Amino acid sequence: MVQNRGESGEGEQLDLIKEPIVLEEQERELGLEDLPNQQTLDEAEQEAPHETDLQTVERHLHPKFKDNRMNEVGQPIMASRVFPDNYLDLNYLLTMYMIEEQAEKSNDVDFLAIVTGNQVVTSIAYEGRGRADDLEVAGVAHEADMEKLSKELGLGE
Amino acid sequence: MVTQTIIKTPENPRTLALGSVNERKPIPAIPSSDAYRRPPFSESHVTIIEGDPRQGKTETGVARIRDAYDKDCIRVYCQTMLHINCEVKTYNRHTRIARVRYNGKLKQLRIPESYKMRSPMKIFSNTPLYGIPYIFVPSFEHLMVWLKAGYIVNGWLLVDEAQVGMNARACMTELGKELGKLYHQFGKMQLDVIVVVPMARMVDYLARTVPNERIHCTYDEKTKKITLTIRKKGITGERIVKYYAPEYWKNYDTGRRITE
Repeated sequence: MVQNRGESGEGEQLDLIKEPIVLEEQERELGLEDLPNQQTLDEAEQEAPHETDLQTVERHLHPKFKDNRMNEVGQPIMASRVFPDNYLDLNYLLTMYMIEEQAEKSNDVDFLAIVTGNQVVTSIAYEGRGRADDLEVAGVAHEADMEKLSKELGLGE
Repeated sequence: MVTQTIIKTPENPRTLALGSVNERKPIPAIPSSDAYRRPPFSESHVTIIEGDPRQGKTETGVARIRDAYDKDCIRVYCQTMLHINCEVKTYNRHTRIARVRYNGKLKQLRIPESYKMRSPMKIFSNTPLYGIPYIFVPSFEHLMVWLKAGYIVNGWLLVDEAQVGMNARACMTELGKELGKLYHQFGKMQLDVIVVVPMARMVDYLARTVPNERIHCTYDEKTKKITLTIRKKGITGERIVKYYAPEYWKNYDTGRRITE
């Protein structure tokens, strides 16, 4: 048997079992014979979507702000289309309104965050660039998936 | 029913003086592993599995090994019965259908009920496994000595509750130092290593630098599914994988404690 070695381990003996032994025991009987046909871990891992790159790009394309109000207003705008004629007006409106809102709550208004945040939101949505980028990324991801699938099926070789 | 098969090794008194681990004792020859010889790894295959208690850490380790064993059984079936060399993609135990890639094409095979699945794959584990042939590693002292002696090579190694023997607070003990010398040589030993620990910070710093894959587990009682958040070294982002937990309950004993 294995004995405790203590700090130094000097002089003590470690008697190991003579040989590594291959054991084979039957599966445990737990009354689980009629399990539904679910995926094994290996199957689930192989079929899990490879969305990591897509998610990373999406996170960069649609930034989130610390201010909840900014997110509330900005997220739909980023997925919409801002026409060039309305660009400056919208930017002005958003900025002035948010400054007023903050000023009503306290005198501590973060002008920089409001101005740059609105600039980011409206520039992403300028002429619908935001939604065009989304569709482009989704299309590339879809193409990559289709290419992988066709390789697996032995097509196009 | 328990069957035991002894791996043939050269005659060797397996009594080692603890204080003399560092003294270069004659190392016994490596047990014959020709039956399961894998190509050298170009990178380490070490996975660290983390998660709160009862969240499916051990099960995930066992599941990985169980699936790898099944796939190796299919490889053996293809070689011995069909006389073909193919890459096994997946195997479903319920339907006994395997997906293999042969000559660049994906094919499906149904394994006959009469065929008894066997594989020479070597599995070393410090927690008992059921339904899979494995070599039990009774303690971390055994793990260290067997790694040094070359017994544990060319297979899979499951280290459950790694904080017991690889504890960060015990990294400067003799055992900790000796194990520390071995962590970065798992690739040379052609070992797929799975380290199971509640939190990575609980194990020795050296052991934390080796893994190239980190998995975090959470278990949902309602759906009985374990959700894995998998991060791989050098790859941005993470993958979310869910699998059905009861599938592997019969392969390990969740109540088994590891104390040495």
